[in-house]
Amino acid sequence: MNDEHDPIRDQLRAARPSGQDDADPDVRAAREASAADAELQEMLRREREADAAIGRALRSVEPPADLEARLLTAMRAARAQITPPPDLEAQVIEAVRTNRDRETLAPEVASHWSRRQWFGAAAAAIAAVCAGGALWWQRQSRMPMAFLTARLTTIASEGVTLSLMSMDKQAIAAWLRTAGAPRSAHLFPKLDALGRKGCHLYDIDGHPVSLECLVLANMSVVHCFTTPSSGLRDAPPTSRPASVRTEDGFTVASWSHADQTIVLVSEESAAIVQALVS
Amino acid sequence: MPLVPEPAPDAPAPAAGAALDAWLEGVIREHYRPLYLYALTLCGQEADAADLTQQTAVIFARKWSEVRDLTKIKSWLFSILYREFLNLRRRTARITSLDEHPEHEPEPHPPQQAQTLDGRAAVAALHTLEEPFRAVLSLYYLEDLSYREIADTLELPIGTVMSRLSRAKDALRLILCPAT
Repeated sequence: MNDEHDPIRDQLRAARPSGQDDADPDVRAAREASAADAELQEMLRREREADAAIGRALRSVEPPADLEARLLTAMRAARAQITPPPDLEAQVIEAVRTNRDRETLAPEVASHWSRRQWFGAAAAAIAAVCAGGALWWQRQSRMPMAFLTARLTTIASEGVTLSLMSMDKQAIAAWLRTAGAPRSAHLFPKLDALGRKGCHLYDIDGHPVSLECLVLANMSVVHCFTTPSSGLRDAPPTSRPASVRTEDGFTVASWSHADQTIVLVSEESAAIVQALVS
Repeated sequence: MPLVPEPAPDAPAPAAGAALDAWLEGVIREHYRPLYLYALTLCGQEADAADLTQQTAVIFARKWSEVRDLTKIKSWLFSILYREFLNLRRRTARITSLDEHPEHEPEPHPPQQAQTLDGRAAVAALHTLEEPFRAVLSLYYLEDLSYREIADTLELPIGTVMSRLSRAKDALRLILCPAT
C-alpha cells in the first residue's frame, strides 16, 4: 500500500463518486486547491469511474428473498418480549432474595470459626472420597453424571469443534441421524425455538454424546449435549424437572426425556437458562 | 420512495403502540438492504450476514428510544451492526469447523477489472482486505454515508477514515487489477 498520503488527495478520494459530497466545504476547498494539478485530476477521474463500478456491483447483490419477512418477524417477537415473562421475573426476584439472605447470614456464620473448620475438614474428606469414587466410576461401564458434566464443561471452555456448521434444524437432525448420534425427540419449546449453529458427535469414555450448538438472540451459544441415559450411573429421573446449577463458571442444566439425558452448558445466567427449560 | 417519511430533526419520538411498531418496521424495510450488504462484506458469509442484520433489527426494536437524533438513524443502525459483528467475531473465535481445512478453502477470486466486476466478485474482493480497511471501504461503496458519517458510525477520527479509504482503495486496486 502507498504510505505517502497527501491530505488534499485523501480528502478528494473520500468524496463519494455519485457527487453527494460535492457541497461539503472541505471537499470543495480541496478541489479548488488541486484544480491546477492535471495529473491528480486525471487519476481522480479514473478512480471515480472505478469506484462507481465497484459500488454498483456491490449494491447489485440481492439479499435473501425471505430476509425482510424474517427481520420483521424477529422484531415483533423482540417487541413482545420487552416485558419479561412472569415466571422469569419471579425467578430473578427469588435469586435476589436468596442472595440477600446469604448476606444477612454471613456475619453469624463467620463468628463460629471452629464450626467452619469442622465443615472444612468434612468437605475435604468428602471431596477426597468423591475424587476416589469418580476414579472408580470411570472404570465402570456407566459414567457418573458429575463426571459427564465435568467433561462437558471442559469441552465448552476449551472450544467446541463442529462437524457440521449449519443453521438448518432439519439438516442437523439428518446429520445426527446418519451419524447414529443420540438425539432427544423432545426439547423444551423455548429451547427448540433457538437458532442453530451446528453439531458434532463426541465419544466420552466409550459413550456417544451428541452436541447441538444453539444460538440465543444475543448470539450467545448454548451447548446442548445428549447421551443415552443407559450409559449413566445416575441419570436424572424423567419425572424430575430440569435441574439448573453453576459448575466451573458455566450454567448447567440437565434432565432426562424418554431414554435420553440432555445437558445444557452455557455462559448465560442461571435465570436465562432456567427460562429456556421451563 | 421511503415507506416512512423522514421525520424532521426536531420531530417528537413516535407514539407508542401500533403506530410505533409500524414506524420501526418501516425504518428496517427502508434500510435492511444496505445493512445486509455491509454485513456480507464484513462476514463474507450469507448466513452470518443475514443473522447480523436480524440482530441489528432486533436491537433497534428494543432500543430505538436510544436514537436521540432521528436524522442519524441510518448511522446508528450501521454502528450497531458493526459492533455486533465485532462481538460475533469475538464469540465465535472459540468455535472452529472441521470443514475449515486448508484444502477446502475456496480458490482466490481471479483478478478482474473494476468495470466488469459483478456483485459477488465485489464482495469477495472487499473481503480480502483487512477488517479495519474493509469496514471503512464497504461503507464508502454502499454510498449511504458520507465520510463524516462513516467516522461517526465507526467512532474514528475523520483523518483516520480518509487515510484508511486511500489505503484500502490502493489495496483493492492491486487485487482487482494487479498489473496496474
